[in-house]
Amino acid sequence: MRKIVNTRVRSSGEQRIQINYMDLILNQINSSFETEKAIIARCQAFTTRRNRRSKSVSEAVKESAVGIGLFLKKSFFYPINYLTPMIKSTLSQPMIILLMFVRMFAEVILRILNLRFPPWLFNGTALKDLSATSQQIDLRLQQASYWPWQYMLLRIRDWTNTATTRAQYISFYNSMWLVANDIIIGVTIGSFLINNSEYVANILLKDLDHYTIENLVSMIEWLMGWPAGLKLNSELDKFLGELFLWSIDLWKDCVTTIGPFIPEILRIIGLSGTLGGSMVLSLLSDFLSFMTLHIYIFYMVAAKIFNWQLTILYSLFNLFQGKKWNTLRNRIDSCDYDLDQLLLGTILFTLLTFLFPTVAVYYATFATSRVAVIFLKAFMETLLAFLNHFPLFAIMLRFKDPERLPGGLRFEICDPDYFSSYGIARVVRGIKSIWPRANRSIILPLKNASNINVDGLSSKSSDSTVDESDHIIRLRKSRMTTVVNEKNISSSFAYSTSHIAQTKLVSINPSTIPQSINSSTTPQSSYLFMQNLPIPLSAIFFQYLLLWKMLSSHYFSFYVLRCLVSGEAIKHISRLQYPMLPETRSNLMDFWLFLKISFTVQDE
Amino acid sequence: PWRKLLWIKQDYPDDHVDDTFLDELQKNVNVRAYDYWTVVMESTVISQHISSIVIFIAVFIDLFWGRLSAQNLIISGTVLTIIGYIFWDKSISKTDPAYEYKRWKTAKGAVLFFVTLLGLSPILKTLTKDTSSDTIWALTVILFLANMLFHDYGSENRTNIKFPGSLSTNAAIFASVLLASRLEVNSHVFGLMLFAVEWFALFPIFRRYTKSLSAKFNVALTCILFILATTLFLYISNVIAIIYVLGIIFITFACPYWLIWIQKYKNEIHGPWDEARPKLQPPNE
Repeated sequence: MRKIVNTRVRSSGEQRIQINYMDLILNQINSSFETEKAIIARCQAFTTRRNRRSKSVSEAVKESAVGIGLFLKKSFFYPINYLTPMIKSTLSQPMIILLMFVRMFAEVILRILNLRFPPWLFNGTALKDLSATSQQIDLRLQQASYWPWQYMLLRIRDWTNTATTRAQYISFYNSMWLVANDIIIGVTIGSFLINNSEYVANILLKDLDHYTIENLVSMIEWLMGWPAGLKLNSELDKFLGELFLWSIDLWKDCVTTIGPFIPEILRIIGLSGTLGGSMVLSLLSDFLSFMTLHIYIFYMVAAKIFNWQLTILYSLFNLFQGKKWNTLRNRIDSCDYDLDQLLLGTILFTLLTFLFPTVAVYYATFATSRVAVIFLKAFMETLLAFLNHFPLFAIMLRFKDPERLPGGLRFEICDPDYFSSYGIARVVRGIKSIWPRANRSIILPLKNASNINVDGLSSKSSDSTVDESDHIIRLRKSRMTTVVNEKNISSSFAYSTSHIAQTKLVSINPSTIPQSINSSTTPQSSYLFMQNLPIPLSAIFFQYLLLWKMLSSHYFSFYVLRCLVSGEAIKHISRLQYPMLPETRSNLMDFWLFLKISFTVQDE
Repeated sequence: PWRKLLWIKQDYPDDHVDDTFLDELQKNVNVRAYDYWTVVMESTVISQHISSIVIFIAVFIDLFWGRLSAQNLIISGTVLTIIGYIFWDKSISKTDPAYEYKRWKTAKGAVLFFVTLLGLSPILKTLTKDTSSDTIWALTVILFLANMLFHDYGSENRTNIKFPGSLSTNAAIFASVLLASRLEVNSHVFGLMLFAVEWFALFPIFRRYTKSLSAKFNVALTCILFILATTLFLYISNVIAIIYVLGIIFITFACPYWLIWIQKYKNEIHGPWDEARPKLQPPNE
């Protein structure tokens, strides 16, 4: 056993080219299982003809009930079964054309949404990054265009490659279920919004007014007169304060003109609930960011001024010491300035030093309010993430039938005299084998955990593979009680078994067994118990761990702190919600082929 | 005879110290014997600089108390600067004939600077309105100290147009901005700033130039500055004037004597173990 494991490991050290002894063995096991099942089924048919014993009463009742059910089904569905081929043959052509149009329309929308602005406008972001709604539409359309391909994959039903088909099956039905859930939730929320739009609009307006306008006005007025004892430069202070107050007045006018239309807008948002609760959430998020547009503008203005001031101050400070930034060498060097440069520079330096606290205080106010708005939006985005990518199907499977989510194999070496004992000894042995025995059982972890990641599909990107398999292996290491070296195991293999029974006996050539287990001198076979372990619950949610890691590394890092302190704009992370879709969509030709195949197959 | 070599076997024992061991040691090679009056002449640089700082402070105090009118200051400052510039220009163009084109550049720079200062004066006036006066005085003292300490007191003959050291000039300008922000009227602010720029940036160049020109002129300049500083401060505060006079006398007369007196304690050692200094070839004429 160890030798097999070791040969696998040695070969897997180079570039993942593996000699699949283990896969061969597993294929053999699977095929023997299938043949055994088939033989038993055939034999049962055979034996019932031979050993026709008298039926008991309960069996007779069961048989008759089954018979009645079958008769009902046939009579009820008979006309439908007769009619459906005819309907299908007439409708198939128009259906194909209609679906083709829908697909083309979706493709066009996706192309538009993914257009990028030129770099001088909005810093080159794509169109869809500007609002959460377009991101949601983008995600849904991409999912929808991916479904046909998934469905095709399911129908192939190649059981030698059950890992990928299992994963695709689970993810396909998962997304179906999620979309259905989404629509139900959306219709609920939508109807609530439509019925109570006036009330909600009132509350919304009042809250927005209080938090975004009144609070801001009082804050600016506080800043205009020596806030917290800080002595700001009064002239600049008054100037900036009056500037921002005037802009807020303009914004107030805008809001009061929009005010009467808000119930209508809320009704429209409620109507869009039929497209899903996620659509409602994203529309609400967009509405919120539109109503806090003034905070965004103020923040950009204040940040620009602050950043500008900081860079000028830095370079003038260098001039004060007689040094300059040498761009050729990326360092600060001493420099020979002209006299007038020196004089003017020093005067400006004094000026900017004394104006610095004022600008800094204004920037701090607007930066904190912007951060608050971002937190709110992030909260809505996490809600969206829950709605969009919750692994419902996988959890249900985990509780109903754990073996359908394979999470590794567990091998246990059984005693050499397993077969030589009967009765009580066997029972005792069975009880003993319930908990894993130390020093005897070997657990093999998963490779390519993304192959069976239950919320998504097989990843085409190799970096996420490494991350996820590392992640799974880290889980596994805590349960590693093994004779074999841990280091060897961690360079990992994938063994997914499908529908394998609880324990299976595997017989191994005695020459591969280490001498310690072989007790007698005569060669005997040793036996291993192989057990299928289901995935632990935390592994199902690993997508969320990934998402959280991405979010926290972007938003809670030194980059954000530096941006806040120096007044630069914080960049958004794109592609946050799509870690499991493939990079490229199937194009229209594939869709056409799919339609043809599916409709002609049904026609046969 | 014993040779100072380690790589051959000599007859002497290993720990033999020969009498000729320290022959190559040179003591006090670079020490020059100073002449008293030469040192006094050289110390005029320092006293000139200190006098100029004192004069500037006196001018500020007079402006602050309204004794000096801004117009007088501006006019006299500008006139003196122009005279000095013409004088310097004539002398320079004798030695460096390619100086003609720089006149236009300097004139342009001067006009630009004048106009910028005029525009910045209102901002500078209210710059430190909220800071308390004590902070301003303390900062000014520190900055003028920095100016004095970091000033380029080079005593070589130099006629090139090298401005006197960035940090000291910048410190002086910073200090004058602080002082100017204490004044109430725009024209006062402008006058002080203009005077400060002329006094701390252009005047050192002039001083250095006259020093290299003739010694008599240098001494005359020193005396003029000294008398000016004393008279200006006599109207402000007697104590400061007396301290100033005593200080200048100390620097000019007592310090050279002290320097010469402690030269005899100088103990400098040179030898073949020093870093090699490359002797540059003189250019072939």
